[in-house]
Amino acid sequence: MLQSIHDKAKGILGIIIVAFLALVFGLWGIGDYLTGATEKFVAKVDGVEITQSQFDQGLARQRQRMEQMFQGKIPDSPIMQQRMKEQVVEQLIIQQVMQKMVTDEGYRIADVVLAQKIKNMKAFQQDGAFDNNSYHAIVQSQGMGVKEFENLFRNDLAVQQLQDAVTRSSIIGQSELNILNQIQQQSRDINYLQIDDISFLSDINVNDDQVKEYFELNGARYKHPEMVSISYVELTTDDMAKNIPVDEEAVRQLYDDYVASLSSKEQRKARHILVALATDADADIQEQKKALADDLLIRINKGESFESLAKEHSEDPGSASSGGELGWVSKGMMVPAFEAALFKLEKGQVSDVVKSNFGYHIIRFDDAKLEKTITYDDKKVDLVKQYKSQLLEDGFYEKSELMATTAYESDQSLQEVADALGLTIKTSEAFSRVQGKGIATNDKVRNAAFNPEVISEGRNSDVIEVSKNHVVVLRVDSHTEASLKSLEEVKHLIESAIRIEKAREKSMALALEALSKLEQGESIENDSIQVSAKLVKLGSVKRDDTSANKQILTEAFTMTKPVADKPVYKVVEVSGGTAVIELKSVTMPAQATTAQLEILARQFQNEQANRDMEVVLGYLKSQSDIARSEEL
Amino acid sequence: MDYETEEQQLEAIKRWWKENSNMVITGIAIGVASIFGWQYYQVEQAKHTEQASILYEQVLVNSADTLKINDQMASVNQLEAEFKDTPYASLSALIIAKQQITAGEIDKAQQQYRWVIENANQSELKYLAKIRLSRLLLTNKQQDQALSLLNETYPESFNGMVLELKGDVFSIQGNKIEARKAYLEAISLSKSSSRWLQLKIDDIGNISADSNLETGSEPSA
Repeated sequence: MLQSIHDKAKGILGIIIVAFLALVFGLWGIGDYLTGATEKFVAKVDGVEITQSQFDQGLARQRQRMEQMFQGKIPDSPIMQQRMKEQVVEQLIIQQVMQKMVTDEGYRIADVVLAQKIKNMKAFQQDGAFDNNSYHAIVQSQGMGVKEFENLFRNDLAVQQLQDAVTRSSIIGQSELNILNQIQQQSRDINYLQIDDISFLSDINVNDDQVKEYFELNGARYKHPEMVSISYVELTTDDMAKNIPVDEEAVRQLYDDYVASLSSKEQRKARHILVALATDADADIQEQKKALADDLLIRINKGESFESLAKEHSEDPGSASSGGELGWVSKGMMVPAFEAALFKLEKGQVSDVVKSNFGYHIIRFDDAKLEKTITYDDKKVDLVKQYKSQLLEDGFYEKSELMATTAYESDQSLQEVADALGLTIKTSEAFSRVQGKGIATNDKVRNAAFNPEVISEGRNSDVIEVSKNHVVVLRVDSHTEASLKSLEEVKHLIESAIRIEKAREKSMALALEALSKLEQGESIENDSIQVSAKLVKLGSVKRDDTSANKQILTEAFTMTKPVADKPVYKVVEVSGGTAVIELKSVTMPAQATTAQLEILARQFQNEQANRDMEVVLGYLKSQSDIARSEEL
Repeated sequence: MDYETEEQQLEAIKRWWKENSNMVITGIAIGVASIFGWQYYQVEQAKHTEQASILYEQVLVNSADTLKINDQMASVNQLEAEFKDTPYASLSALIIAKQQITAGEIDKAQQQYRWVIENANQSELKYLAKIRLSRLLLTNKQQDQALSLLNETYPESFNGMVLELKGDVFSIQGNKIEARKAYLEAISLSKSSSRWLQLKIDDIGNISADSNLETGSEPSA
């Protein structure tokens, strides 16, 4: 071993090896070799794992967004859940791809720019200015360090640079717009014959053999749905509230708090006279000023007008001219010394000379505004509610926990759950997967009842959160599998199905007959063609015409254009019948003006920008080696 | 080869060290110097990139203002001359090109796209510039040049967009059959539904080879 090092490490090669090792450890450290990854991952982008916990966080955020979007009612079907999960994984993959792009392609946000953007974020501002404490607090509340947040944000900003450049520089050529304009603005001259099924319905007789044959072929379509009925125990805060004894003393305390809170909201109307004093004034001047204020107070007490003395002598530029009037003052608005003095006064009373850091004040309390105090008896109902809800918050959570453990531990019956919580067992009517009454109107309850473990193993369900204040545990009492309906039960349904089918066959036959006559050159206006049909002359219409039948319009605008004034025909099925469309001609719009093209360009700007970004993103993704985990 | 005793081994190590100590120390010195050199280079590179990044932000902010096009041009020229090694040169070129198109300076916009095609290190920007250049060529009635640009090889994610544009070129040339073929291929590649692409297909209708001759009667763009 040593010999081989000896041989190889000789000369220039030795230098290279050592230099290389120094470089490797210097640049990357040895940390990477010591940490072993053990966590599960949901995807891998170029060897970088997106971990289960990243995914869980992403999913929680997505759920929150959806809840806001649907106002608390997320569609809870398993398909939606799966789609949401896939979306979250896709987002995380894109995030990782973009992070790699930022590094590989050498994007970088300058420190000053980063700082500026952070300072401009509303979330970190207080009274319109950036607040460093809120910044740290908010970032940490997201479970991140400031450094980590800044790195993430820096990365986002770099991605934004690419996105801005791609989307804002999107263009659409005038020739392309012209093509779109010709499609959008062209008009087509259309007539059609409408043949309604309904006119044949009464002529159609259905016999039992037909019904039987139809039933043999299509009987599987008619089923009684799978049904269950359940027993359940439900816990609501409303029920709990009834059982909480009211502690009169605690309610009294709440009332006192309420009264105290009122006085803190009191506003007082006041005047003052200020003898201003600089904070760094020396003792002599202080004394002089104090004497001046004392003198003023004596004159007021002797009966001179407060208002005119304020006008003459007050050194508060804001209030002197209005006789010292300060308007309505509530607690917290004034310097503490002033506030303390003002709120000690009786109405109409004048204060002693009060010193604040502005100087010496003489204050008069003119008027008070107080929110009306509600009497204890009138307030009591509210207070009891408040008292109970405080207790309930904790109690409800504890009880639901107890419910969950009891239901899990003795999972073959609900009796223990009911006993443990002092609740009664209720039962439901039978319901299907998609529809139910009472407690089964809630789809979470229905989903839980049809859960395989609950339905076939006869276990208690998990605790189901019907709403924030309402939880349920259930078990299945009886279960009926879906079953085919008997011929008797569906006879009338089948009869009408056959009737509709036959009627459609008739109208289709008539339509095809008309088509062949039209294609031989007969006019659509001929009576011989309009057998059991109604001729509708749409005339010249555009594709977004709202007065015309939408199905007809869509079909007519996908028809091959007529050549050399020879109309083109097409038979189509529409709701309630069949139609034969005659497309007589297509008129292209005049060459679009520059103004029109500009309007179109604006109309397509967003769409084009999105497509450009989609393509770029697709390319960047294709440059990464992405592996998704099978199970989510 | 094996050594018989530990002394011999020790001897061998000492000998090796005597012969090679200079080399090893030089090696370590070079290693350390490279670390510092590399870090210095990185810091300088970061400063350089940040300068470009800030210049680009300015170009972006003024991108909607046609009056500022001359100031913008100065920034873009500087980016293209001094910051070619950063993505910001190409990003700015794409933005100024749009601004020039809005101002009616189509030739200058073409030059910007060509600059990106020749100089961008970021393939996605290069291909984007190619497609945008072909849009301009098409508007300029240079359909053949547009088509030859679109006939080059593109990465998969660009193909849907390229095919739709090809369809547009064919459609303008009156070649409805090729246009339909290109549109149909484009729609088979597009992941999201594209209403307008479908309308283009519908509008051509299900034509066969012989009806292609008759389409001359329509007013063309």
